[in-house]
Amino acid sequence: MIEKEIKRRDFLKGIATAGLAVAGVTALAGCGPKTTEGIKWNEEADVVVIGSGFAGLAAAIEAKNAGATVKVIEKMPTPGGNSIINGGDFAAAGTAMQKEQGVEDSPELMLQDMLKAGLYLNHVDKARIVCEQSKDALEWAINYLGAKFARLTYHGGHSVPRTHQTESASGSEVVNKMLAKLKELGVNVELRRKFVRFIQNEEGRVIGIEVRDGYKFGDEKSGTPVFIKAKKAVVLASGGFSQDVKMRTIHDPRLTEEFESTNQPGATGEALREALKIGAMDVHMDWIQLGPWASPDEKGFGYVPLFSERVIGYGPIINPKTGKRFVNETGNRKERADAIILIGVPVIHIADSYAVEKQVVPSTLEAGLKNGAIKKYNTLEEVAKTYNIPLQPFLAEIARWNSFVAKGKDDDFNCKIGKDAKPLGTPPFYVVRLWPKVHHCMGGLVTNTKAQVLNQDFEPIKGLYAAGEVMGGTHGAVRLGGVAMADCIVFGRIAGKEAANEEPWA
Amino acid sequence: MEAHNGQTNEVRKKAFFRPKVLLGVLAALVVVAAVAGGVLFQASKKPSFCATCHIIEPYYNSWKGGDLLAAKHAEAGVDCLDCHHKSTVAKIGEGINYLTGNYENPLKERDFSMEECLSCHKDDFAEAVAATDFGESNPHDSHLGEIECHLCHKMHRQSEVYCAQCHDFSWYKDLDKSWKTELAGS
Ligand SMILES: Cc1cc2nc3c(=O)[nH]c(=O)nc-3n(C[C@H](O)[C@H](O)[C@H](O)COP(=O)(O)OP(=O)(O)OC[C@H]3O[C@@H](n4cnc5c(N)ncnc54)[C@H](O)[C@@H]3O)c2cc1C
Ligand code: HEC
Ligand code: HEC
Ligand code: HEC
Ligand code: HEC
Repeated sequence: MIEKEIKRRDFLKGIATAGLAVAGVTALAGCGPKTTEGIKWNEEADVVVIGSGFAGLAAAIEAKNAGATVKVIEKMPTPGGNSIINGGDFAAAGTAMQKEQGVEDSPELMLQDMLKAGLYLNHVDKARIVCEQSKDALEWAINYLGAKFARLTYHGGHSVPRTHQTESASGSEVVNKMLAKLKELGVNVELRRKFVRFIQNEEGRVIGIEVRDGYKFGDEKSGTPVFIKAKKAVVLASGGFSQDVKMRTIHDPRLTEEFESTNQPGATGEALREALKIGAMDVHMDWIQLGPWASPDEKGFGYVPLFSERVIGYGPIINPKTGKRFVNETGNRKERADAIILIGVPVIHIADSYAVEKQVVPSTLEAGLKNGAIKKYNTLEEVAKTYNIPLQPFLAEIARWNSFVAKGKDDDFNCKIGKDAKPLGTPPFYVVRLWPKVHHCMGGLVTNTKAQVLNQDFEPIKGLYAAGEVMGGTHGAVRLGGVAMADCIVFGRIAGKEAANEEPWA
Repeated sequence: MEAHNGQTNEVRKKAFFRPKVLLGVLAALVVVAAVAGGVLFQASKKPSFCATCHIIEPYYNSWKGGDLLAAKHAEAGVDCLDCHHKSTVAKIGEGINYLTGNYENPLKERDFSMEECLSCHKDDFAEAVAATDFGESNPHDSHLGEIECHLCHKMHRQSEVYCAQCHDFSWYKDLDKSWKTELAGS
């Protein structure tokens, strides 16, 4: 209520500066017929994209190439959202790189993995599109954008190595190539412009947006109102809400500010909520993914995920209270994170130097040792002592783990033992502590296979598309590693093409 | 929480509406006039300007001496007008902003564009990139790509490393006093 009041005052103040006629006020009251009469548009484009991550940029490129004029707005002072800080793992099935390395895969197998991890809550039609078009999306990133992918990696929950990692092990490889491509096409990301609300006409079609120009993140009073007309459509690609404590605790009350997040600070949910205000439907909002591989000993995403996720299947994860394993290390993120939270204290992931040298990128290891989140010990006794692990049960558990590695099968938790894993025993031993961080929002707006946002009557809201993390349904309960990139780029491209194909209303 | 803060601001703003606007307009006009006329130095010393002295003074002081980047420019013979010259028109525009909305904080931090910095640093920027290759990472060459200089470098206030919101790089502690280093790691 208070929030609304303030918005309204801001808006009135905005009228003074932007020189708007008073008739616009009806639209802003948030009820009654929306009218555009009197709105003075400051700028226009056929397609207006909100957000500059994978999804928004993919949409912008496709819309532009389909002949539309395009604007991309971004509230932060730098472009790229979570996409520019991401780990660069792109899941795609049946690719050339997989064939080269003798990995047999298919969109059907990828779909089965997604559904299994997603607890069969996935919107299958959309998940299938992601799988079927994943290879094409990756090839587009390589051939059209010029992004470089260097290696095939493995993430828990996939039945085969399927994630193609960028050369720099960062999503920025793709985002920066997208930004360069857009520049070539004459489109610049307009930074520090925060989307505030949709403008609809009498029929409820989205015909534009209000933004705050010159916005400084965190200062809700900053910036001045600007109205941008979208002659064809708006594509909402504003990402997830992992950093929005108020919103995430509504959907999952466990996720208080006690939990850190791996996301960029601007990963908040106001744009998604604006879509809900104009009648959009949402789904799976309480399926918020925690990264089970995160460390309490470093901030943000850090280096530990790049360590832990590489040595699963090579070294066990131990409950320090008992000295015993408690979860399938190669299980999906939800199983692992829930199990750790249940234990209530950070758990220990240990690997020996054989596994670490084989699996972990040297610069990651070096950086993690330097910041202190990865530790090195010469004996298992030393490890037990440092982390207060009861020694005998711990040693017994390591022996038991080693017997599973030797026969290539884990009788206790069915961990997928690494292909060339060896029993743990070559010192030094590397240890990280794990405590989950809020990582990804599976839930979001309901869209159809054309990326149109559906309303509460299951009808598309005319003029509104959504793609990327702000959209829900594809992942169901659990997103598998690497599938966000596929999802964002596949549906970002679809949204861009479809939006450019709309009949202009003006 | 946000909304609540917003409300108290609103109340406070109303109470101070008149004096603050006045001050803001005055300050804006003085900045415009002074910068345009090149009399900033004298102006800031004259008692008749004392309503605005305390506003301009810190800028002058940060240039005249001390640890901030403005002072380093002063040492190299760069003065107020070398940086603020072509902005007269822009300043007038800002004056209007003060009138209509930004009266709360008359001298709001202004964002210098990358082009403005590069108008002098185009030729030595490649050197700067090389000078800041700290091995672990390089603030001028990262996954964030080309970002605005002012996200890190500030002239009249302490600079801050933008990367610090996500990374604890060990080179922060070696930066000089023009940088906010105590924040790193928090
Ligand atoms: C550290 C990290 C590592 C990851 N690694 C991987 C990986 O290896 N593989 C994988 O597949 N997935 C990974 N993910 C997940 C994946 O990166 C994200 O799901 C994906 O980047 C989302 O893309 P997007 O385009 O939907 O949103 P984003 O890239 O987050 O972009 C949305 C943009 O919209 C802006 N925005 C929000 N609200 C507004 C508003 N009101 N007005 C204007 N702009 C607004 C935001 O500031 C942001 O820049 C990772 C995520 C993180 C955080
Ligand atoms: C919003 C958060 C964020 C900001 C801001 C940010 N980074 Fe990063 N950065 C990340 C994340 C997350 C990764 C890890 C991605 C991965 O490899 O999985 C990363 C990776 C890196 C890496 C490669 C891995 C490593 O650390 O060796 C470097 C180097 C780096 N960043 C440098 C920078 C520099 C320099 C800046 C400032 C100009 C910066 N980053 C700003 C989040 C951020
Ligand atoms: C090398 C360039 C440079 C020089 C020299 C310089 N400034 Fe600035 N000035 C800036 C930048 C950049 C800003 C933006 C804010 C910041 O970085 O602190 C700014 C901002 C300002 C502002 C606006 C308020 C604000 O904080 O944004 C005032 C007033 C100002 N300077 C006055 C002066 C005066 C007076 C002098 C000389 C005594 C001077 N400047 C010298 C670059 C310069
Ligand atoms: C009018 C020309 C001019 C402008 C505009 C200017 N500089 Fe400079 N800057 C110089 C000169 C001259 C030096 C000193 C010589 C050198 O080190 O290159 C300098 C030095 C520097 C240094 C090195 C300081 C040190 O000794 O550690 C930095 C950093 C710097 N400038 C950043 C900036 C940034 C950021 C901007 C934009 C906000 C900017 N400059 C705008 C002329 C300028
Ligand atoms: C991510 C933060 C960041 C950004 C953005 C940034 N810088 Fe820097 N810059 C630094 C740091 C840190 C130093 C090192 C200061 C030191 O060594 O004392 C530096 C140093 C410099 C130097 C002096 C280099 C030398 O020779 O010692 C110059 C000149 C400079 N920057 C110019 C720029 C310009 C121009 C831009 C914008 C195009 C820019 N910087 C953007 C962080 C940044």
